[in-house]
Amino acid sequence: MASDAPRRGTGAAILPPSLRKLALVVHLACSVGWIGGVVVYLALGVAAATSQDAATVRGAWIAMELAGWWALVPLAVGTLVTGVALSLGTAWGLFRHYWVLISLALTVLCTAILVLHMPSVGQLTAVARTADGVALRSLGGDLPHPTIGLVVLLAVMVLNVYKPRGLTPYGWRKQQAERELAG
Amino acid sequence: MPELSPRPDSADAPAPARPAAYPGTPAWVKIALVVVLLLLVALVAGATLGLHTPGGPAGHGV
Repeated sequence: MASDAPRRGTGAAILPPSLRKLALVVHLACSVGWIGGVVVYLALGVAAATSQDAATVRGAWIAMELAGWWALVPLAVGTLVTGVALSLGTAWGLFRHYWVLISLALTVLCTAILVLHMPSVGQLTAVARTADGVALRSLGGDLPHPTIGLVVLLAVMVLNVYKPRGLTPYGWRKQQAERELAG
Repeated sequence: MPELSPRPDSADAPAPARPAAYPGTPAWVKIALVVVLLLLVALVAGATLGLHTPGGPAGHGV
């Protein structure tokens, strides 16, 4: 079976090695940081959901809002931008391989849900700043979003490490055209 | 008598070079799609049954 791994000089835009390594370093830092940030957010969500202490619940919600806007959103955008740059700047391409395409789709989905969800976190944090007693404890935590997000991000990481074989129809056509040109 | 090469339209003629057909979508992609669809159904069912937090989907616009 012919390999579908990308070859250099196949017509795709190739980043110079120094730029490719820089983009890879930033991409790894952002994506791993994003996963770590989600784990911290999940821990805060569990604390807000389970604690009977008003100060802990209030503090957890304030920390979740800060972590969301100042860590998770920038890291998500950084992961997306550097991932697209790496795909377009190397022979892997953005739409040629299923693992790249699925990684892109899942990253876009996670980023969009995160950005759309953060205003609700802000509103609940505003409530947590002023509420007390039963009203504060009834806020609960924020568990489904970080739990599902963490599972999806880990799945993307597995895809990126294992890079399972599989060309998209577009990638296969491009490969055939390039072989004809080379042949 | 020299051996003639087979006529292009005969059964012995080699097939013209054509690009191979697309090998198809890999099995792991199909399995992943099925898993994602099942998860989506579970999520929709969970949301319908009210298994969400105040910050969840139904909490938007609080």
